[in-house]
Amino acid sequence: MTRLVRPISCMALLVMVGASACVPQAPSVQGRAVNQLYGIFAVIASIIFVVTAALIALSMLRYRAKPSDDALPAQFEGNVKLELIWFAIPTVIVVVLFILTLQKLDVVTERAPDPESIIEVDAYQWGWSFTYRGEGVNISGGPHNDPELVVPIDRAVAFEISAEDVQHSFYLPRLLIKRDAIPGRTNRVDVEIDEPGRYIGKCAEFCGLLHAEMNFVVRAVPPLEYRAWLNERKQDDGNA
Amino acid sequence: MIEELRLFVRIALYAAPAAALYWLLSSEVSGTWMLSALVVAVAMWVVSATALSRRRPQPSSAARLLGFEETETESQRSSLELAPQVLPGPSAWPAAAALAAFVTGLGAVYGGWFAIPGLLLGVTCTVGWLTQIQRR
Amino acid sequence: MATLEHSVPRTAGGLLEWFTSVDHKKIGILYLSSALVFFVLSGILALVMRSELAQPGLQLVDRQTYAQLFTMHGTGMMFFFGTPMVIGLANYFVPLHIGAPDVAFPRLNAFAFWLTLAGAVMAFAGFLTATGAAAFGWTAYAPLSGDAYSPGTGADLWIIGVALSGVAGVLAAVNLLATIFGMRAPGMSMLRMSIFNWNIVVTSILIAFSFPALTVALALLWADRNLGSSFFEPAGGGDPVLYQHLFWFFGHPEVYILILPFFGIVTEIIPVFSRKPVFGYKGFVFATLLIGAYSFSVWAHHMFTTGAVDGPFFSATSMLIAVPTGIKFFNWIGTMWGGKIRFQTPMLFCAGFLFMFLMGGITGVFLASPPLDYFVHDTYYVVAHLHYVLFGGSVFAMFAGLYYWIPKMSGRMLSEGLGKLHFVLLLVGMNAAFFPMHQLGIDGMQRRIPDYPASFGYAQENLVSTAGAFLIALAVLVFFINLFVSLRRGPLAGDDPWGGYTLEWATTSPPPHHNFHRLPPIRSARPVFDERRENAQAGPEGGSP
Repeated sequence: MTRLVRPISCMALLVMVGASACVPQAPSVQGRAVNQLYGIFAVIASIIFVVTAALIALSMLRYRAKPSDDALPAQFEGNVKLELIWFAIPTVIVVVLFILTLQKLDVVTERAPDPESIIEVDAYQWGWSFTYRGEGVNISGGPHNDPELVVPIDRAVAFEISAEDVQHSFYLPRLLIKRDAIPGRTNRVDVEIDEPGRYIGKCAEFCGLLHAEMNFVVRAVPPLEYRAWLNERKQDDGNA
Repeated sequence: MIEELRLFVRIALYAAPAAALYWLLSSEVSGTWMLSALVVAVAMWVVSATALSRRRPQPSSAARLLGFEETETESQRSSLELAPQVLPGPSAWPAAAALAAFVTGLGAVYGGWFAIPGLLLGVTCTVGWLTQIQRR
Repeated sequence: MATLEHSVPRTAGGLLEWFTSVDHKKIGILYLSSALVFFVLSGILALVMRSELAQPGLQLVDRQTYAQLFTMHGTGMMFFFGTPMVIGLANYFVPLHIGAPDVAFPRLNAFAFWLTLAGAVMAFAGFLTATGAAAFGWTAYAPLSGDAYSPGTGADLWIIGVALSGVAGVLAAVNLLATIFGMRAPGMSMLRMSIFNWNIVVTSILIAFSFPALTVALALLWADRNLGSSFFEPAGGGDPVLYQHLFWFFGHPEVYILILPFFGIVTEIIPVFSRKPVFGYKGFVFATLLIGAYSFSVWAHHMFTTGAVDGPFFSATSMLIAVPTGIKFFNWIGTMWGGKIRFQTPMLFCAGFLFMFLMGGITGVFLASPPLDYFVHDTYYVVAHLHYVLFGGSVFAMFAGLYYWIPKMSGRMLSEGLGKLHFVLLLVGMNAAFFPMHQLGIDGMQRRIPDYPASFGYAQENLVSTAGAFLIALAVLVFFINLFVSLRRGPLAGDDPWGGYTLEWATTSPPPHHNFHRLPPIRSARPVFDERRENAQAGPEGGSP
C-alpha cells in the first residue's frame, strides 16, 4: 500500500496543476476572489478525484479473478465503522468548502458604498443599452455594432441589470462574472477592474435567434482618461 | 407496512424543517409553498397508506418509525399471499385511452374542435375499460 | 419453496399483441424500445449540432433550426429517453426482483406507456409544422416561451406533449410503488429487496412528488400563451422567476430520477461480478433515501445567477448531496475489495461508470458554490458537467444494465467481443466529446450558440468534441449491430448466465407470462445465491456456488 502513496500523490499534484492552470487570472478584485476560490476547489477536488480513482483502479486490478481460481471469496457484508468514517470525511470537506464559499460570496456580491459610476444595463432582443446614471450618457448597440462602454480602473463601478423583453444574462468571461437580466427585476453587480484593457461581454442566457451575437465590450481605462471620455461623450450627446 | 411508511415519515422529517428554515432565511414565497406542499403531500401518503393497508401498523414509538430494524415476524410475513390468481388478459382500451388523450391534447393546441372527438373517444374508453373489468 | 399456479390468459398474437398486452415484461420492452428510438433521434440532433459547431461560421443549419435542435435534443433525452428508460427497466425487473407475477395495475401500466409515447410523438411532431419544433431550450424559460416571443404551434405541441408524458410518469410511479409495497413474495421484506428496487422506490417517490410541479408550470405557461393570462409576464404583473422555481422544483429531482435507478443497476452488477455481497446494504439504502430527500431542497442552485434566490441555503443543501454520493462510491469500492472480479461487458461498463460519474460528481460541487456558479453558469462547463453525470453516469450504467439483463429478456447472450469494442469506443468518444467542454466553458463559450467567432479561440476544442461525438455514434452503432446479430444467433443464456443473486435469475430466460414456476425461499437479499450455495453443499459433487 505504502509504495503507492508516491505515484498517487504525484498524480494528484499533476491534476491539481492542470485543473487550476486552466483558469486565467482575472483583472478585477471580484474576479480574483473567484480565482482563489476556484484554486482551492481545484486542489481539493484533484486530491479527492485522484485518491478515489486510485482506490477504484486498485481494487479492480488487485482483485481481478484469476482464471484457475474458482473458490468463493470471503463474503463480508460491510463494516459500520468504515462507513461512518467515509460519512464523516466528505461531511468535513463539504463544510470547509461551504465556509470558503460564504467568505468569497461576500466579496463577490459586496456593494460599494460609493461607486464611481452606476451604469444601468438594459438587455433586449438583441442588444444592450448602457446608461451612465446622472451623466446623461447612453451607449447602445446590437449585432455587428457591438456597444463599447468605458469604465475606470481601480474604482468600483456598479451595474444595475435588467431586461426589456425576455431573460438575458450579463456575462463578462474574463472577469469571471455573470448576472441574469430579468424583465421586471433589477440585479446589481459591482466590479472593480485593476488592469486597463478591452474585455468582451456576452449574453449567457438563451434569448432567441441572435443570442450568440449579443456581444459588447468593456474598455477599462485610468480614472482621468475615463473622466475625459465621459465629458467628451456628454458634449457629443448634447450637440447631437 | 411499517418500513414503507417510515420512508414518507423520513421525507417529511427532512422537508418540514427545510421549509421552515428556507422561509426564515429567504422569505421567498414560491419555494416555501412548494416545500410545504411537499410536506402535506407526504403526510397524505402516510395517512392514506395507513388507512388502505390491510394490516395497520402496530402502535409504535418514534424510534421505531425512524430506525432501520425489522422485527422477525415482519420479514417472514408476505405482504400479499401468493394464492393462485388471475392475471388480466390483453386489452386494447389502455392504448385507445392514450390515443384519446393525444387527440384531446391536440385540442389544446389547435383549438377545441379536436377536443370533441378526443373526449368522445375518452368516454368510450372509460366505459369499455370498466365493463371489461366488470366482465372478468 | 412455494409452487405457484396461475391461469395464463390467452394472448392476441402477432403485432396486435404488442398493442394490447398488459404483461409488465412486454410493456417493459415497449418502454425500452421507444426509449432507445428517442435516444437515437435525440442523438442524431446532437450530431447535427456538433457538426455545426466543429468550426466557426454557420455551415449546416440556420440559427432557428439550431435552436430547435438543442431544444429537442434536451427534451428528447430527458423526457422521452431517460425517464422512459428508467420506468421500462423498473417495469421489467421490479416484479421479477420481488417475486411477483405482474405489477399492481397492469392495465394502468399499459396506459402509462402509451401516454408517454403519445406525449413524445406530439412534442417531436413540432418538426412537421410550418414554424418548426419548439425552440426555447428544454427548460422553456418564460417569457421567451410565451406567445409573444415563441409564436407557432411547435411550442404548444411541446407543452402538451411534455405534460402528457409527465402525467404518464406519475401513473407509472404510483403503479411501481403499489407493486413494491403490496406484492412482495413471502419473506421478501423491505430490507431484503435488491438495491435496484430500493432505488426505484425512491425514484418513484421523486416522480410522484416532483412531476406535478412541472405539470403546474406547463399549465400556467399554456394559459399564458393561449388564454391571455400573465403568470410569467412582467407586463401583466407576473414573474418570470416563478416559472424557474416551478420548473426546477421538478427539474432537480428529475436529474436524480435519471441517475438513482442507474446507481441501483451498478449496485446489482458489481456484487455479482465481484462474487461478494454488496458492501453496506443499509448504508446504500440510507444514502439513497438521503439523496432523495435532499433533492427536493436544492432546486435553486440552477438559479443562482438570477440574484433572486438564497445563495447560502441552496449552496449548503447542494453540497450536502456529495456526502451520500460519497458513501455510495466507497461502498462500491468496498464491494469490489477482496472480491474476484470478472470483467465481462456489464462489469466493464460499471467500471466506466465509476470513473466518469466521479468526474461529473466532482465538478458538481464547483457548481454548488455561488461565486463559481456566477463564473461558469450557462457555459459549456455546465454542459460538460451534466454530460459526465448523465452520459458518463446514466448511459454507461444503462448499457451495463442492458448487457446484464438482455440475456434474461431475450434468452440469448450478447456478443462479448462487440460489447468490449462498444465499451472502448464509447469511453474514448465520450471523453473526447465532453472533456474539452470544461475548458470551453472556462474560456467563456456560452451554451446554446450555433456559432462563435474564430477570434475567440474555441475552434480546436470544438473540433475535438465533434470528433468525439461521432465516435459515440459509432459506439452506439456497434451496440445495435450487436443487438441485432445476437438476438438472432447469440448463444443461449440459460436461466442464470452470470451467477446472479436476485430472483430474476431463478426463472427461465425469458420468464414465462406469470414470471415464476417456483420461488426459492427468501431469507436474505440474495435468495438465488443462498439456494445455489445450499444445493452445492447438499449436492453429491459439491462444486462451487
